[in-house]
Amino acid sequence: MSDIIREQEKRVHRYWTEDGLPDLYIGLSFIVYAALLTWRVAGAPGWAEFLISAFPILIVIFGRWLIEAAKQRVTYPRTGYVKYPLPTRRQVTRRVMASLIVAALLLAVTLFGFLHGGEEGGLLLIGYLMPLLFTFIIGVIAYRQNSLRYALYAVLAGLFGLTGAFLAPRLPSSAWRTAIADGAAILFPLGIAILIGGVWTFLRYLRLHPPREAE
Amino acid sequence: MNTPPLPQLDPLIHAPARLIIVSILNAVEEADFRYLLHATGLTKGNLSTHLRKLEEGGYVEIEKTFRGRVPMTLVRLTEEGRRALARYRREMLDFLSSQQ
Repeated sequence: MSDIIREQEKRVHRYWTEDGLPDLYIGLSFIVYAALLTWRVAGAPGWAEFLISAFPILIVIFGRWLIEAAKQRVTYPRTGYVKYPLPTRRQVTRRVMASLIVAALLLAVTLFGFLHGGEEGGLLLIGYLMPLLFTFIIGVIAYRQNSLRYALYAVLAGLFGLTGAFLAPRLPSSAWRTAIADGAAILFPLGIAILIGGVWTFLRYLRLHPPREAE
Repeated sequence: MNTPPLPQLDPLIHAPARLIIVSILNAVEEADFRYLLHATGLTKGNLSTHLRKLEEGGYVEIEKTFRGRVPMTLVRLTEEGRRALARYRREMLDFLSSQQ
C-alpha cells in the first residue's frame, strides 16, 4: 500500500522528464559548455572568459523557464499540466548544507592532490572526482524518479569521465589535460548521450500522445 | 490463529482508483483533469465520479479555469485530504506490521 503511494509520488516526479524536453535542454547545454571549455583551452579571447564562466549559471537560470515554455506548447495540451510544490525551508536548508559539504570535501581532496602531487596530481584528482560527482547527482535524480533512462545517464557519466581522466596523463598537450580536468571530456560525450536519449524520448512521446481536443 | 481486527479504514481513500488520485495530488501543488486522466488511465466519466466523491468529502478542491483560451479543470488536495492520506497510510502500515 505504502509502495503504491510512493510509486505515484515517483511517477509524478518522473512526469517532468517523461516528454524528453529536459534531456534535450541538458544535452544541448552540456555540448555547448564543453565546446566553450575547449575554446578557452584553445585560446579564447579575454572577453569570452566572462561568458564561459557565467554559462553554468545561465543554464540554470534560463533552463526552467525555457523548458516550461516548451511544455506549455507541447506537453500540457497532450498529457496535462502539473504544478510542483516549492521546496520547503527544511528541504532548501538540507540541500544547501549537502552542497556545501560536498564542495568542501572536493576542495579538500583537490588541495591534497595539489600539495602531494603538484599541479598534475591535482588536475588528475579533479578529473576523477568530477565523474563521480556527476554520477551521484544524476543517480539521485534517477532514484527519485525511478527512471531507468537517468540511471543509464549516471552510469555513462561515470564511464565517460573516468575514461577521460585515465587518458588525460597519456595525452601530449597539457592544455588538453586541463580541458579534461575542467570537465569538457565528460560533458561532451555525456551531452551527446543525453541529447540522443532526449530525441528518442521526445519522438516516442509525440507518437504515443497525439494532441487531444479541449476538455 | 489470532488475527487482529481490520482497522476502520477511510472508505473515501480505500478505493484503489481514489487512493491513486489522492497519492498523485499529494505529490503536487495542483494538477489538471487531463494529467489525472493520463496518470490514472481512468475514463473521463470514471475520473469525474471519483473526483466528485472526493470533493464532497472535502478532500479535493476543483477549479474551472482557462489557460489562454483553453478551458482547464484544476484539482488540488485540501489540508483535510492530506491529513486523511497520512492517517490512512499510518493505519495500513500499523495493520500490515501487526500481521508479520
